[in-house]
Amino acid sequence: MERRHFLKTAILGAVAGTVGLKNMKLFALDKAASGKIPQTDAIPDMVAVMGGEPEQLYARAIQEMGGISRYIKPGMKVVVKPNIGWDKTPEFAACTNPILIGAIVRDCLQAGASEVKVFDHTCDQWRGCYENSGIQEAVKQAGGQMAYAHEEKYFREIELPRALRMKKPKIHESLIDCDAWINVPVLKNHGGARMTICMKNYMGIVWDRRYLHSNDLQQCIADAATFEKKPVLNIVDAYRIMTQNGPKGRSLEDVQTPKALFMSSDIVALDTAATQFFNQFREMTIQEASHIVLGEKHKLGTTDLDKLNIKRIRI
Amino acid sequence: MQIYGFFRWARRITALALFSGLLYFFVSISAGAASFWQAILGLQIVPAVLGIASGGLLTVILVFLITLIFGRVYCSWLCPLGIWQDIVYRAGLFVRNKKQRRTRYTKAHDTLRYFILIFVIICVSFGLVVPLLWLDPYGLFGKMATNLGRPLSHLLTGFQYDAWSTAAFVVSAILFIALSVTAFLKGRLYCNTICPAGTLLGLISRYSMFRVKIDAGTCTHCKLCGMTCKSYCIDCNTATIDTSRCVVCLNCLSKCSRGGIRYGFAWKRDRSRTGQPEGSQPDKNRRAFLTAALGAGAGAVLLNRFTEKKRVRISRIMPPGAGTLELLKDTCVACHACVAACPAHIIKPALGEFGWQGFLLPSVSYEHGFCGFDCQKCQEACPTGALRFMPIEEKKRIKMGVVKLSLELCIVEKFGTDCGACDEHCPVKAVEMTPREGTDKVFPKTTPRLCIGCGGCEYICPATPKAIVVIPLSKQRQADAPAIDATIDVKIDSFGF
Repeated sequence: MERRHFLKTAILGAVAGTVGLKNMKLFALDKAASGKIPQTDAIPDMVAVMGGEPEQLYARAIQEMGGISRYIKPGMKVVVKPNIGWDKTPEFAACTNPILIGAIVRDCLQAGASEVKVFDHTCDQWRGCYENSGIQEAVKQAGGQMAYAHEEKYFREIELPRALRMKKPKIHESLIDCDAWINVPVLKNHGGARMTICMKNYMGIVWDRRYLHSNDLQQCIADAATFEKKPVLNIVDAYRIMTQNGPKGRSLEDVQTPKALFMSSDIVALDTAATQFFNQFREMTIQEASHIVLGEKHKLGTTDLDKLNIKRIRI
Repeated sequence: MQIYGFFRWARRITALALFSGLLYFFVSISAGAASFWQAILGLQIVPAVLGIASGGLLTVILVFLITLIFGRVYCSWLCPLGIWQDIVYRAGLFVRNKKQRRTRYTKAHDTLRYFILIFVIICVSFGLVVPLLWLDPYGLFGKMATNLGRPLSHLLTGFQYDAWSTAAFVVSAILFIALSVTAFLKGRLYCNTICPAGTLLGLISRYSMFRVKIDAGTCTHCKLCGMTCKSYCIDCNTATIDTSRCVVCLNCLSKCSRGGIRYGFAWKRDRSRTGQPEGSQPDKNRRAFLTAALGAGAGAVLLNRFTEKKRVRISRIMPPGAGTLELLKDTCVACHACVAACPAHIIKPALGEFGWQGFLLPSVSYEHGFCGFDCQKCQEACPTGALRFMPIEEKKRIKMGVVKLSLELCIVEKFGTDCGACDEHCPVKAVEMTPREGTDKVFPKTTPRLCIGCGGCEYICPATPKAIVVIPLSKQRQADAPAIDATIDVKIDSFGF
């Protein structure tokens, strides 16, 4: 039923397309006056931008990636999944930047998404996380909605046929029911998994965190990422990053502000790139954060960045 | 008569608003909106007396002054348990016929009420609050609202209730039924016999500036007023009113069509002749008081003998700000406002963990959550100051317990796979994943002097049994401040890939 509904909406959208197209063009021009949206064959595998404010970084990167309408079609139910794990304010870099999340939600709605939901299965008490991270406020202002994820009833069991250790996790309902989702982690070091970027961000879609921790954490993270519905985009928020005492952090001394953002559909490549970026601040390899290597074994992407067409931009 | 009607409505509206506000605070599952009603907790007389050192003095003076001027209006305007009894009594009128609705004057149970009051005063002045745990009207209301109302509200909204305690539920249910049945059958019997606050305020209201009194000139002894009194305190035969029991509900006034009973200024010269209910039998009254005082003294001595003199070894953690178990016992009436306010649902009524005197006092359990680093909702809610409100920076260092790691149970040690859940949750890095030579793994390492006992590690530890737990401390203190790591000083201008 849902697919049929979606197709119907899509066709209707195409028929009345002219109006939408105009709007989109106007919007794109508005945001980035320089350059046009590249054509399909010119779209890079990954975009890395540095040296701007969160909204600027996002606008530039998504433009290079072909615009949001390449990924989000009118009528789609969209989920944006940030890291909202901790009851910390934005300057501590424990959660994804709220301004970035707001910009993505607004962009998705402008592209015609029927709804945009945002959630995370938090570690700290959920209300504090949603409020103090600034994400709840940003999402509401952008026109999206926050989804509850603090009780088991919001999660449904699914099968992961390719998984090695975690074969039947409970996944958040909004993710199972959506048409497309965008994975938006923040770049941090992690006491257990060593790094927390895109793949580690999958932990927030699973109900039973303790299961992952007690059944080979690294393998379980890679297993979670085999979830059939892949994010249409992974966006790494490296505007502020946490280089020590992660993932919760203790003080502002743990935070660096490189003002960067990376975007790709290849989750393994993006985690690899982000780890190499992080390595400039503090020594870290993907062999240590081995879930990234295990992700490649699951054929989720490549760790060989040389094979990819990466566009590096400095604003 | 018009003016009395106005006052009655004002009383009903204020009382209902206050009652529903307090009820909302105690049972609401959304902590945000409830905090508005928290201010009402500060008006409750027994918590104010217990917390007289921490800001309760103003309330005590205010309530005593109001009582001295207007009589026991506190009991029918501000006391949640009193209002609940009024609601039950009022609802009872609907199921009674005209004849059954009538009430009749009964004598006050002087010996009993003074016994209880004096007993409580002696006990409290010797730092023994346990009788108040079971007598304070506000504390009783809080216990019932929290342990009956909260599970119910969670059941209705479909959220799970983490602070469930069967014992607290059963005790509260018994109290609730007993009090409601008493109110249904006997009106304000509890308030005028058992409640120590009611008796204390009664001693003042006896001499209040404004009082309800019968005007001997216009009264026709029709007894209508006496039949409508829920305190049973209007003696129509002698045309006197026992103002020590009158809660100034003013119901009687609107019954009298002749103005034979009035609420007015009573500090006139002829005070000795009217409005002195016990005036006719002062000896009897004095005898009751003396008997009660003697009995209460003996009772208090006995209770004191049986209380725990030795330091109780606590097997549960006390909420932040409690200080020591002695301090907690000295000031807490177990109203469970902290249980209701805790967003993590970790505060639960204690069973035997704090000894028998500590039954139902707030205790902390990390089964379903842990103490929020930036949270002090329990301290904000506590009306007695038993959970001392402190600057947030001090709360962040308060040491409720201390970490204990059993490395042999740890996932990394047992299975050789990464975990780090404890390190992840620790806000002060009292447990940190550290590399071990000869392995490529990181293992948890604790620094107990930094630990604040928030329970993040214990809650999240995936090992069974838990490899890392928090041991309760019977004396809370400040944990050492962690040394702040230096910032990594790196300037980058390339992506590194």
